[in-house]
Amino acid sequence: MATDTLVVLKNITKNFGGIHALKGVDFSIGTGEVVALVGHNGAGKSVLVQILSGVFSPTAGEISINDRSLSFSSPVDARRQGIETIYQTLALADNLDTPANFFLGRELRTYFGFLDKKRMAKEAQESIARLNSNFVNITRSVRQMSGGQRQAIAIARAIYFDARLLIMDEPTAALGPSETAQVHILIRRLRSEGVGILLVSHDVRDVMSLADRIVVLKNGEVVGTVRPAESSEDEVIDMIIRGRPQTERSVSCT
Amino acid sequence: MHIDRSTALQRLNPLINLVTPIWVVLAVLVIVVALFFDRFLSPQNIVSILQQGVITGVVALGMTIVLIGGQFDLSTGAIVVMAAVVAVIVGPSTGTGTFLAIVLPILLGSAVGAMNGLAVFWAGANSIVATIGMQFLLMGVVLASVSGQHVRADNISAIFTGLAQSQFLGIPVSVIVFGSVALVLAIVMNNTVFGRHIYAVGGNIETARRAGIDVTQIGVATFMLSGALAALSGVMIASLVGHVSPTSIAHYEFPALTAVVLGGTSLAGGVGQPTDTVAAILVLAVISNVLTLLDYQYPIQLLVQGVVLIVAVAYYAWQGAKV
Amino acid sequence: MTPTHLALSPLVVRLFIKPPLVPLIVIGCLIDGFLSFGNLRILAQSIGTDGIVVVGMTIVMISGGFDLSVGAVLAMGGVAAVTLLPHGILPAMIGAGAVGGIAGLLNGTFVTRLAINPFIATLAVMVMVRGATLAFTNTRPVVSLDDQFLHIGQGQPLPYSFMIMVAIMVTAHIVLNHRPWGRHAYAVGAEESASAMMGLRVRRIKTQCYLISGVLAGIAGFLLAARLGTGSPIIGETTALTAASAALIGGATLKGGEGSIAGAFVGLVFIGCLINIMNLIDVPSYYQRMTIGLILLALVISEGMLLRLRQR
Repeated sequence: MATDTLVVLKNITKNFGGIHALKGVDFSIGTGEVVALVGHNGAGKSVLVQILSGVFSPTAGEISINDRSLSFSSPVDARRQGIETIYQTLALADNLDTPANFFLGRELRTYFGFLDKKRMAKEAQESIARLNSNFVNITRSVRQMSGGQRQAIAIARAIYFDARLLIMDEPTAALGPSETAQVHILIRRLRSEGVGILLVSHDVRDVMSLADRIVVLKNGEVVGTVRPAESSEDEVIDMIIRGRPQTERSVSCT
Repeated sequence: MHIDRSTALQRLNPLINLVTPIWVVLAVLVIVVALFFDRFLSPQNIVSILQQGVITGVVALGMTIVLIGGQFDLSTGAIVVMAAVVAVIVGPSTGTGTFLAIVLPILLGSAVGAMNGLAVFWAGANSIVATIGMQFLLMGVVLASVSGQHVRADNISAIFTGLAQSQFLGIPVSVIVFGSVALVLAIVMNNTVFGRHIYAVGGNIETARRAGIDVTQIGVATFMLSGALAALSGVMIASLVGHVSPTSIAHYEFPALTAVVLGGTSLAGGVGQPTDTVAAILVLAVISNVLTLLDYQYPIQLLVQGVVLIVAVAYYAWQGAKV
Repeated sequence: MTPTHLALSPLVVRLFIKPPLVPLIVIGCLIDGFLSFGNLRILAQSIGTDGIVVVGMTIVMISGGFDLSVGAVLAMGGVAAVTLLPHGILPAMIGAGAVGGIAGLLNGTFVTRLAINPFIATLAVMVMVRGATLAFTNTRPVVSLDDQFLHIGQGQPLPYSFMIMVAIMVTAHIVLNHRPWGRHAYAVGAEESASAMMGLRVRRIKTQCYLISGVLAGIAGFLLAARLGTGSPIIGETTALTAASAALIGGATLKGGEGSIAGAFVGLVFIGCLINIMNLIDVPSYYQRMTIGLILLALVISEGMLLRLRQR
C-alpha cells in the first residue's frame, strides 16, 4: 500500500559515552505505510524512537522528510515537522485533565496567555469522540482511566495535530484484547488516510498482522527487513534472536 | 489541582477553586474556638491573627508554587532575613528610599531564587538539600555583611511603615497585600499557560519535557517567584519593626511548609491551590492564637506544628494522594 | 560513564581530591597552634561526637533515606542524660540512647508505614523533638556538676568520645561490609522494589536504620553534654547538615545504595579540620555556616550533574 516515501533515515548512529546504541541504521517509511520496528530489549528501538521524536540528536546520520534533510533539536521541532509520538508510559500527565493533556504544550489561548478552556474542552471532546464514541466523560480524572482510554487520548491528539508520521511505542503492551483490537482498527484507518506509522513492538504476532514491512534491529544495527507476506513469524523471531535471516534472501529496503 | 472537582467547578467558577477540605476545617475550627473563647472574635484578636498569619503566609504562597512544580524551597528563611536587612539598610526615609527599600530586596530575592532554580533544574541537584545549603550560605553572607550586628533604620518614612502597620477600611495593608498576592497567584495558576505548565512539570517532568515545555525555564521561574515572595515578607517585617537583628528573626520555612502541606498541596508535585494555602495559614494562625490564649509558649507551638504536619501528611496519604 | 583515562587510585582521590584532606592538613600545619596538643584534643573531641552521628546518618543514607532530626535528637539526648544523672551514669547514657531510639522509631514509622518522604518526616520529627526539649527544659540549659560525668567528656591521651566513636565506626564497618544485614541495607537503598521482591523486609530494614541513627545521635548527645557540662536544648542546629555533608563526601548519595563509613570519616575529618582552622584564625562563626552551605551545595550539584551525565 506504500506510495511515496515520507521519511528516510540514513546511517543513523548514536553513541552515549562508550556505548554504541545505534550503528548506521538505514530504513524508510512511506506515506500510508506501517513499518514495524522489532528487536530485543536494548537493541536500540527506544533510542531510535527518541531520535525521531526529537529527544536526542543522532551522533551521525541524516533524517529527511519528503526529500528535505532535517535536524531536530527538540520534541517541539519534531512535532512541527508532523511527527507525533505516542510513548508507552509517558503519554499523559496524571494530575491534569483530558483537555489539558490533549493540548499540553500547545494550549489554546485567549488574551494575554490565558487559557481558552472552553474551546480546548470542546475540541478534545469532539476529536476523541470521532475516534471512540464510548469515550463520553471527558471530565473524569485521567488517573482513573484505563490503558485503552489513555491511548485513545494520545492517538486522538496525534491525529488532531495532523501527524504525518505517527510513532507508536509499544501501543498495545498494556492493553487487553478488545482494546488491542480497537488500536488495530485505528492503525488501519490511519494508514488508509495516508499517515505513515512506525510501530515499535515486541509482539511479533501483532506486528505480522499489521505491518507492511518489518525492520529487525539487533545491537543497534538493522539485521534485516522483511514483508510479513513473504516471511513468517518464526523467521522474524529468528532474526531478532540470531541476527541473520535463516534463509539468505535479498530484500528490498524501500 | 484536585482533578474531579476542579474541572466541574471550573465551569461554575472559572477563576478559583474553593470548598476544599481545608476551608471546611477552617470554618469548623473558627466556630468551635469562638464558642470556647469569647476573646477570640474581638476585632483586635482577629487583626492580630491575620497579621501573624500574613508574614508566614506570603512565604507559604511562594512555597506552594515551587511545590506544585515538584520541588522544595527551604531557603526562604534566609531570604526573609536578607530582605529585611536590605530594606532597613537602604534607609526608607525618603520617597525614592522607600521605593528602593521595597523593590531592591525583592529583586535580590528573585536572584537568589534564580540560583536555586538553576541548581535544581539545570544541574539536577536535590532541591531540599540544595536549598538548605543555600540557606546556610545566604545566612552567612548576610551576617557577614552586617558583621553580625543589629541594623536600625533612621527616619523611616510613613509610607514604608504603612506597608505593614496602617489600615485600609479597618484591614491591615499587609493583609490586603497577602490577599491580593494569593488572588493573583490563584488566577495565574488556574487560567494561564504558565500556571498549567507548572502543574505539568510537577506532575511528570518527562511528559512535560516531551510536550515541548521548557522545564528549566518554568522551574527557575517558580523559584524566582518563591524568592521574591519571601523577600516581600522580609520587607513587611522590616516595615513592622523598623530594626532588624539578623539572628533573631524566626525561620519561616517550617510553618510555611506545614501550611502548604496542610492545604493539600502534594509533596510529590503537580497538585495544589494557592487559595488552599491561604485557608491553611488561617488555620495555623488560629491554632497558634488559641495556644497563646491558653498561655502555651513557643516550644509547645513548635511541637504542635510538627504534629499538625505529620497528621496532615498522613491524612492526605490515607486519602490516596502521593506524598 | 565517568572518564577512566584519569587513572587515579581511589585512595588518592579520597585523600587529595574529594575531600582535599591532605592539602588542608598541610595548610593547617602552617598555622600557629594547629598542631598543639590542646588543639588536637579539641579537634578529636568534636570529631568524636560528630562522628557517632555521622555513622548513623551514613547508614540511613545507604538505605535510601535521610535524617534531618539528628541535631535535635543530639540536644534531647544531652538533656535527657543530665536529667537522669542523679540516678547514675549508666542510666543517663541508656536514657539518652533510649530517647534517641524513640525518635528513630518515629522516623522509621513515618517513612515506612505512612509513606512520608524522609526529608519531610524527619523534618517534622526534628521540630517535634526540638519543641519537646525546649518545653521540657523551659528553654534553659540543664547544668551538671557531676565530676564523674564531666570526666567522661575528657580522657587521656585521646578523648573517650573519640575512642567510642572509633569503636562504633569499626563495628558499623564490619556490619555493613561483612554481615548480611549490611548488604541488605545497601540493596534496599539501591533498588527498593527489587529488594522487596527478593524477600527482603524493606520496611523493617529501613526502620532499623532510622532507629540506629536515633540511638547514636542520643549517645552522641550524652557525650557532648559530658564535655560541655550542660544539656543544652538549642545545640545541634547544623549537626544534620554537617553529618550529611561528611557522608556525601565519603561517597554516600541522596538516592541511596552507596556510602562507606571510612569515607564518611575522612569527610568528617575534613570538615572538622576546616572548622578548627577557621576558629584558629578567628573567622567569625557565620562564615562556618556559610562554608558548610557551600560544601553541601557543591556536593549536591555535582551529584545531580553526574547523574545527568550518566543518563545521556
